[in-house]
Amino acid sequence: MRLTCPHCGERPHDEFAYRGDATLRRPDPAAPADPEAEHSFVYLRDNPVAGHREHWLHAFGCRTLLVVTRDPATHAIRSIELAAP
Amino acid sequence: MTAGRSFRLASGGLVARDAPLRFSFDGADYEGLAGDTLASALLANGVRLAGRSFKYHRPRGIVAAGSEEPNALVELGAVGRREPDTRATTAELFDGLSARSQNRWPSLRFDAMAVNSLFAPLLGAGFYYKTFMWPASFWERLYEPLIRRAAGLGRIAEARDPDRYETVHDHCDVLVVGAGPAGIAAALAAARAGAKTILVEEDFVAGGRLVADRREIDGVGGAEFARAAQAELAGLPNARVLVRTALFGAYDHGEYGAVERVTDHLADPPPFAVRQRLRRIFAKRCIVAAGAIERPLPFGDNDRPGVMLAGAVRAYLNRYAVTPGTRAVVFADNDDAARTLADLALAGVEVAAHVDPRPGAAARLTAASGVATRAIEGVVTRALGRLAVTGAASVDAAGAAWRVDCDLIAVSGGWTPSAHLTTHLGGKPAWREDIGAFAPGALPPGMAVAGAAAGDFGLADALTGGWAAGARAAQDLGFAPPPPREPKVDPDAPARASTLRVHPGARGKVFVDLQNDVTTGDVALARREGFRRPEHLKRYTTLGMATDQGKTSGPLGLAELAALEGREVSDLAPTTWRPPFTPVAIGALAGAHVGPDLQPTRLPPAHAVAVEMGAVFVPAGPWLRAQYYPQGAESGWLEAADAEVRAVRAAAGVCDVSTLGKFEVAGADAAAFLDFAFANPVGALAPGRVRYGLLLRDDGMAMDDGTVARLAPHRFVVTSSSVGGPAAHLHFDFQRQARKPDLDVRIENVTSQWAQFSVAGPRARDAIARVLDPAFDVSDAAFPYLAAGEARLAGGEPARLFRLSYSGERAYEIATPAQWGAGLFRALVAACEELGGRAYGLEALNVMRIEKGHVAGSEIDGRTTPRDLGLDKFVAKKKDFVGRAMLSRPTLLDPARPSLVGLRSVEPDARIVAGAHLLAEGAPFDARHDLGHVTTFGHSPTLGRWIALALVKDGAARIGTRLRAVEPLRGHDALCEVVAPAQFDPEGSRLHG
Amino acid sequence: MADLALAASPALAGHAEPGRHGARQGEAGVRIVERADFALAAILGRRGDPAPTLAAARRGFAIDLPRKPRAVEGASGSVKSATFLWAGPDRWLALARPRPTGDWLAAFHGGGLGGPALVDLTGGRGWISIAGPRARDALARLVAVDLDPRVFAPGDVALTALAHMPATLWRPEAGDGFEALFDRSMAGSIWRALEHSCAAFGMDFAREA
Repeated sequence: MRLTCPHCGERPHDEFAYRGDATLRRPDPAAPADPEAEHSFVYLRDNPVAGHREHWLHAFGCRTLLVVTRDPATHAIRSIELAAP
Repeated sequence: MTAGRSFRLASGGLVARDAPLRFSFDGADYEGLAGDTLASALLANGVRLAGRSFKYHRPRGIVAAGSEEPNALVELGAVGRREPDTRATTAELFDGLSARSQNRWPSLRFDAMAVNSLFAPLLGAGFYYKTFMWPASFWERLYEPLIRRAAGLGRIAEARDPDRYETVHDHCDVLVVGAGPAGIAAALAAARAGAKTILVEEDFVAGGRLVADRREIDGVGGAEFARAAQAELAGLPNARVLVRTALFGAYDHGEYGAVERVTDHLADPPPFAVRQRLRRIFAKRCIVAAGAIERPLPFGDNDRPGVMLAGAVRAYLNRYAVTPGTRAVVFADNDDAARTLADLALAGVEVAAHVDPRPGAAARLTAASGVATRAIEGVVTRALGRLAVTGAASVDAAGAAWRVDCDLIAVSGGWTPSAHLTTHLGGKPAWREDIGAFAPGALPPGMAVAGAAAGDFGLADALTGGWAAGARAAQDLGFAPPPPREPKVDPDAPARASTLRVHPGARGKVFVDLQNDVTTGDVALARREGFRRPEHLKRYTTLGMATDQGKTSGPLGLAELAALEGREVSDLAPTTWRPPFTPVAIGALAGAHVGPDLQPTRLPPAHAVAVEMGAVFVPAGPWLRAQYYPQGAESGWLEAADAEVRAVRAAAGVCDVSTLGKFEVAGADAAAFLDFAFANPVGALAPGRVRYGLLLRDDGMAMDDGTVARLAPHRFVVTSSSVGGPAAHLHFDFQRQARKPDLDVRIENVTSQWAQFSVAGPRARDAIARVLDPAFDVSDAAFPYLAAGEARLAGGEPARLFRLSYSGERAYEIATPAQWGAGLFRALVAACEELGGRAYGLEALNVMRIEKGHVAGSEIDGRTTPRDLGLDKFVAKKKDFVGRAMLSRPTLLDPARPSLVGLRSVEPDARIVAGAHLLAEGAPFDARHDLGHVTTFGHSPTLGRWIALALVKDGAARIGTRLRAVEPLRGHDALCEVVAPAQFDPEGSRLHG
Repeated sequence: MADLALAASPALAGHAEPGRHGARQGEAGVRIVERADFALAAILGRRGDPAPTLAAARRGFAIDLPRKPRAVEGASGSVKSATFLWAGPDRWLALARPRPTGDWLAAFHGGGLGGPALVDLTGGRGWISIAGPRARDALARLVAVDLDPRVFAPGDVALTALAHMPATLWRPEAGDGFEALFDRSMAGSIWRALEHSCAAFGMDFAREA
């Protein structure tokens, strides 16, 4: 699999570290404790065939965190954006 | 077989008659020519018996001329270079080649295991699911050893492979797979358009069918056309032709894997040459021109030596100038037979009969070819002979039986596109009614198919289709291809693949898969037992497995299954083809990464000094760390580590801790970020101070520990464990960008920038003072416990000093940039030795930290919380940090959870080992009574016994009681006292000592 | 222990012996030179606010720091030769050869909290140049980046993996060769990877003073 880092260009996937589901929102620490939301943030994951938005960090390159939208059935990469623009 | 007689034609072929080569097969010596394969050379010498079949040990001969060969699997090479299951049809002949047949004992002609044939009815499909079950005790003692000896084809090398291998990365615009007519045309179109083009061909000669058949393109012979095209491409700066390079897999996003056989064919490879080269090819476009594979036909005993694919017969005649027999029967149901008849006649081979089931076809083709032979409208029902074909029994349309003497049966059931690469990424092949076969269906992005691989079997179509594919690929990428030309070729008549089934009156075994010994009877048996889908049929009968991967067997098996089911073949889906298309040696995949180079090794800056000192090393992740430094008469780790611990606690010792992960963290929000990343409060640390740091995961489990030092208001130095360095770096980079993107925090990994040493013991301050710039005030008043700061060494080199202690002694960690690390270590060792101390390694370090109850990676194993480890007091109460929310889960607060305790042996010599499980005295050793496990252990000269740390249920409550630490694999069983983790100097008075 | 001035050891010391390695026939296909006398620092700008860092570079070295993977060469007073490499968003590597005396990156100080942070990396990296008629072929065995001169042109920079180890690769403005920085702790494995990939071509190794 190859990913195109917006800074460095197209590279093999083993230059990157996979960091999981990018759609997760860490529950707001200031809000009242919500055990269900905490549990879901840590353990529950959706697996939509329509596409995964996932975090990849360019570990052997520029160390930028990317959000990759990938089709899990065909592996086609639909988009790659910076996680923190 | 007439031994000694030559089956080499007097002229023709792409062989060098002036270069005879000597080779041996099963100990007998023969001669061949440069340009031969082992198979063609054997046939030239009249050797037709090539192996024994997998299950039934039936005599087998050469069937094909390329990588689709199912039978002639031989063993090449010797000792470390021994390679089993090599197809004789692709093994390039070289002087001195030595090959052996497989799967037979004592010899190919007299194979004792052929007795298996007598048990054939018991050895049908799936027999191993129904046999060898009773009595159960016989399994390990008898059945398994027997099966191991009887099964399998080749034997692997049992010595280390001495050859070199490597991986190369190739980048191109257009990759063309297969240098047959379509591939050549595609490559020419793309290359002439200016695209960076790579043409790969698994054979050692380019041309595909152009060198196997007698064809003409624009008045030039096919082989000459191929040679000229190859020369033109090689001369272009933007094109490369790689022969002997098998493309074995298509991978995501335009990556392709190929193996190049670089020196396999050389008797005397140049020094430093690799044997095989893995090519990772990154191509923007790929054109698969991999050709087509001929289908055999089903009839009785269709596996006898001498039954060959007609296209292969022509290849041996035309390319190798070898006659595979003297008297042939041609059995085909397509018009290709005309070519076979003509080539046989030209070579002087008598054609005894031409059998074709299509009404009038045999007569028509025989007449058109001008060959004098008997035309039979019918089918061959059985091959006669055992060690070799002696005749063919046929039945004609009128039902009359014919028996024709022959020593060669050339069969052709038509052609099937070689579509494997197009399905590697999940695409399914599609049925083509016009050719009666499966052809590539939906293609992955960037891939096109041309020529026979696309179902275009005619030469003219292959050339124009290949050219169009190459031109389109170049155009897609912005190049301007030259206009195509219409090539003038000799006519051909491609046909639909056969749907022939075995004649109902046929006797003998009818094979659909030669390599895996699967017959039509097996297919029927599998179906009766409920395995009716192609994927199930494959798994139950093994049809289409091993190196063959269904090349010659898939279409036959599918057709047989469809017929039995009363369905159309088009309704069934062929089994999924996955990489590799042909076998790939693991050595080729490993490349240079074998032995010590399996993974990168990391060495601390002072490593060479430790080597000089005679240290014994231990791997810690990728790092090599000194475990102990034996001195004088000390033998073994126990003596050395004991002495080191005593030296540190009595005087001073120096330990290399350069391997720790280290990070500079700077910026206006550095403190805020570190407060978020670490579980304990670190943001409020005053400049000039250092403290312990604990990192958690989102689920509240401890991830790693280290230290945080503040050198300036907006400048921190953070350490992690050695093995955890890269993970900590990822953690920091991820948390910064994913969770705190608005903070101004800048992180730099400086693990390798700093050499760092721990100097510990009552005299540690004196030792440190000897290497520091005298102007630096290292008194307790100026530099108390947990102080941190920048300094200089005596020679002016920059340094950093941290007053931390892992050992519980007065201790300092002193760091200097790595280029001075070796020098500083030497100086520190000298200083310690002058003070009555010495260097100490990981073993001694571990003993001392166990004595003090400090945790490390053996306790921070991903299943323990700060509370489990007794680190609850460090966890911040007020701020938000990674993992905070999940820490308060009720299950994590259960006191019955395993928690950290210390252990010491009751008997001084009883060893408590890591991994031992803890049980109450008298309790049986089983899971129900398991109370926990020992995480790490050592021998404490301080306490005069073995000590350990352990995670034990109700740990706190068990302090003061006794438990047994049991490790039955190596017979350890030690009675221990359970104590609080800090067994030595629990008040910590020695820190300030 | 008064005069303790320590000898600095280059990254490949103890691993790479000067001389010919691999095939001995004819001219070496690859020439590797270790650059041992240099200073290296990381310049870390504030996220999304490169202005102070860019201004400092113009003041100190009369150069425009690259905003994409490129290398820029410059000089300043005491620094005869300096190279600035893009090394990630808001991050640059500054290289000076030979190692300057004094605070050669003084221009980047000041600017308060908005200014860049500087981190010395001189000890943490090894630096080699790789040149010769087969240099590109040898590197094709070590990196997955397309090194075709039309794709990786003079001045281009790649932060990538070399034989599965992190490395910074760039092409200097002049010549057809390459420069590479690698992690000092992996020097032994880097050297073995270079030896293996260059063996068939013949490789000359030398160390600059």
